[in-house]
Amino acid sequence: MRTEQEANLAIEKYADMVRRICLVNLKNSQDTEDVFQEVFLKYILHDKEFESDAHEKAWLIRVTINACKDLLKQFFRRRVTSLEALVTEPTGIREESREVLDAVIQLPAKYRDVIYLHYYEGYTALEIASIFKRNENTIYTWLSRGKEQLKSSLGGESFGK
Amino acid sequence: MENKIRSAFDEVKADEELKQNTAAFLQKERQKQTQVRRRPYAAAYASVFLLVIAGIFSWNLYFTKTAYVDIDVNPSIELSLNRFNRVIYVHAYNADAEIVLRNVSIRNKTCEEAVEILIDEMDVLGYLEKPGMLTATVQVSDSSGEDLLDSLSSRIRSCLQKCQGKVGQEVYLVDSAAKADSYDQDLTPARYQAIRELQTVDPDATFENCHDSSLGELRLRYRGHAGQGEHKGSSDSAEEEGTCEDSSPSSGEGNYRHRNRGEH
Repeated sequence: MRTEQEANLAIEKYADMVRRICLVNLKNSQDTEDVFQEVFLKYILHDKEFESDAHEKAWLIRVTINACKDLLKQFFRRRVTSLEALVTEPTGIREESREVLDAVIQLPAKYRDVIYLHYYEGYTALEIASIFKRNENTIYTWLSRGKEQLKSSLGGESFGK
Repeated sequence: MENKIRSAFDEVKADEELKQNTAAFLQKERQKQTQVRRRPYAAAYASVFLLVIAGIFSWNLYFTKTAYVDIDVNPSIELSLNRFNRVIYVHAYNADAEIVLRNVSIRNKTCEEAVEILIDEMDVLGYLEKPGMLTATVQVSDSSGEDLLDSLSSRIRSCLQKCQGKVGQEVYLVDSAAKADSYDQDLTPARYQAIRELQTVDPDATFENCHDSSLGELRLRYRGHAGQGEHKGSSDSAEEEGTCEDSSPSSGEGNYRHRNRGEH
């Protein structure tokens, strides 16, 4: 079991990332807190050493996304907060940013994570394929489709190459 | 647009409350996990402790001497018994006893089984060929002495009958003081008492110079000194159950109680 100090360091280092993945995948702050606890609990119980910071980060991304999916599969959580409530959850966000986040959140579930990981975290399609254990071409397809839908919903500007 | 996405997500932060709640949750979970991990060890330690205690208790229960049976023919042997009537220690008082014990294994046998084995071995080695007496004394620390005396007398009688010798038997209880006195001189209670009796008529008799004499020899010397006619009621000829006081000039000195006596 990892020490309290290791846990606090991980929370400090990765809390924002986990929060963003939760925002992309979940519907309210209660679920977010649940996933937070589950992810970091798994982290402190994970006895194997990570090969690198990148490995640790990728592990946390995968665990967070899986925790979100598991939470959403639970029957009694399916009928929770409406989509409108999604973007009202984070506070202190500018209206322009809120529109962007709303557009991402309204993408099909499988596109949201790859859009976030590619455009915000800077992962390549190959790296995302490795995290999701999917074919690289599948990730390219998801990225492409997600980008098209965002372009459509946010006004047609092209995304960075 | 990429910048817009980056900028939008930049504004999403985990608030301090969420971090603190998570840290507090992890602290609680860590304590739970520690307790869960300790529990099996605690159970294991408790089990080992109980096993050790049970082992010590059982060992102590089994290897505590609660009775002594001393046998005299010429070989003189002491059997120490536990509360389960099992032989836990065997002591050879003399060289003949060592010869008898050399080829037999009587530890952990019941007292009766052990005595039977010893008598068989003595018979094989020729110690029961000549007319004589097998004397067995029993010293028991609890109230089971009478029962042991009965079963032992019965077993000795049947064994001696099988041997078809001319050896008689006398089996009697002695108290702990008599046993302790004889133990101090490394003698069976019967030989110890015989020497004490001899000393009343022969001032030269000491525990040292009589130590290697057999019970029969001691009694013969006693009769020689005291006079055959004067001591008709001596121990070799007594026929009834009673105390050794009946057959001994020094009757007041020991607490010896006959249970069985007779000749084949």
